[in-house]
Amino acid sequence: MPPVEPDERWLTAALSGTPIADESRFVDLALRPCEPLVHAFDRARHSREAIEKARRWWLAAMQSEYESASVFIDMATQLREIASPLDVQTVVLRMAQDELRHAAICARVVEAMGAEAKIPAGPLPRATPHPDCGADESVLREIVHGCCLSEMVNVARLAKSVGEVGDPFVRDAFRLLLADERLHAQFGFHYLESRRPWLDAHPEIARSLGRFLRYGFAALEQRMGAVPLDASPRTEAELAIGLPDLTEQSSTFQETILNASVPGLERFGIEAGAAWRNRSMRPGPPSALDGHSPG
Amino acid sequence: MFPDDETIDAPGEVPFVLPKHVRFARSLALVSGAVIGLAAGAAVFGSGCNSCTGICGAYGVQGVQPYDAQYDTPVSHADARADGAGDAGAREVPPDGHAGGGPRPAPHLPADWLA
Repeated sequence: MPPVEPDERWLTAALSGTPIADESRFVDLALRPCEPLVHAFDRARHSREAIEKARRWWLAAMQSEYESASVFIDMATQLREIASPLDVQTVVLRMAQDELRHAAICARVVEAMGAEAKIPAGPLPRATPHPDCGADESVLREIVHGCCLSEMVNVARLAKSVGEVGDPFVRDAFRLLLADERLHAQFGFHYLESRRPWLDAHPEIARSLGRFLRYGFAALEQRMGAVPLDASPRTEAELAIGLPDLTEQSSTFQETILNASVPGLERFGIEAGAAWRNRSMRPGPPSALDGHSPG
Repeated sequence: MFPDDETIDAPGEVPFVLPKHVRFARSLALVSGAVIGLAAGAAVFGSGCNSCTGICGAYGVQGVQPYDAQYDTPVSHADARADGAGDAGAREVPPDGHAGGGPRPAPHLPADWLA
């Protein structure tokens, strides 16, 4: 008879209680890109409502960070299957570990705000190979979407938050996240640089990436660039504790994609500007992006 | 807006249209030929920037590279969309979309894109 599986699994900030925890701390210290949290959270600075709202936001961030480790793990597997250089594989695995460390940072903020850092542990997202293209293009799609677009928007928003937030403890947490996220965003462009000779020799791949981006931009905009129906401008109390202004989600997304990601991608012959202008959830008629004459 | 997020830089410099956090992001996207280091305790640098403007105050998070401000592209809040969805600012979104965090898998092209 098979073993009984638990109905639900939960992830908390608790460590294993074995020497594995010491090894984990050692790795954390070795890779730490900037100073740790140096300030303590002072609840007296904020209203109960603001703390409650911030606590929910950080708990959601903890879950998002934890889940995204799977994306980098799968990205590393795809890179291994095309025999990517060892340094590339190493840094992608490091980025997966960064996401776990970020989940721990978020958990610490949640706990400092007086709640238990506990999230459902599944199901996890999986970055599976794209069936309509080859292995090299599949991993390029993952890296462009994950690093050049998603993480670039995260970088811009974190940089904005670091400059805006009034609470020093929360600012420390944003700084820690940003110091890693800048690598995650920039990695995508470094990887494209490493593939530049191959892309130059395969212009059809650059065209195909442009076509993928028409859909990828639209899908990502729905997830990261839309303003919730119930969003209202941020209050002074929410600003002080570091909550984002949800009414700015569209503008921060668009200005980052348009001014950072698009020109960065176009350096590699990917027609990202045209893809952005023609982004859509529907395929539409054939165009130059598909390798056809638009006429 | 934070104090450093100015639209007009110091006298004698090219005025910037974009806020500093977007210029910071672009500086990352336009860097090339850099070495990613993994030295213990050190910042993981790309390259290019060598003057920290203190955008975030973090070690290893450097500031904005000089570049030509003529490429700045301001955006309207609700950019027109090709699929007619129009107002990107008025739709329900998944609950994780605003919580920061890391990336999600790249979406696979739907079947109607493969025809």
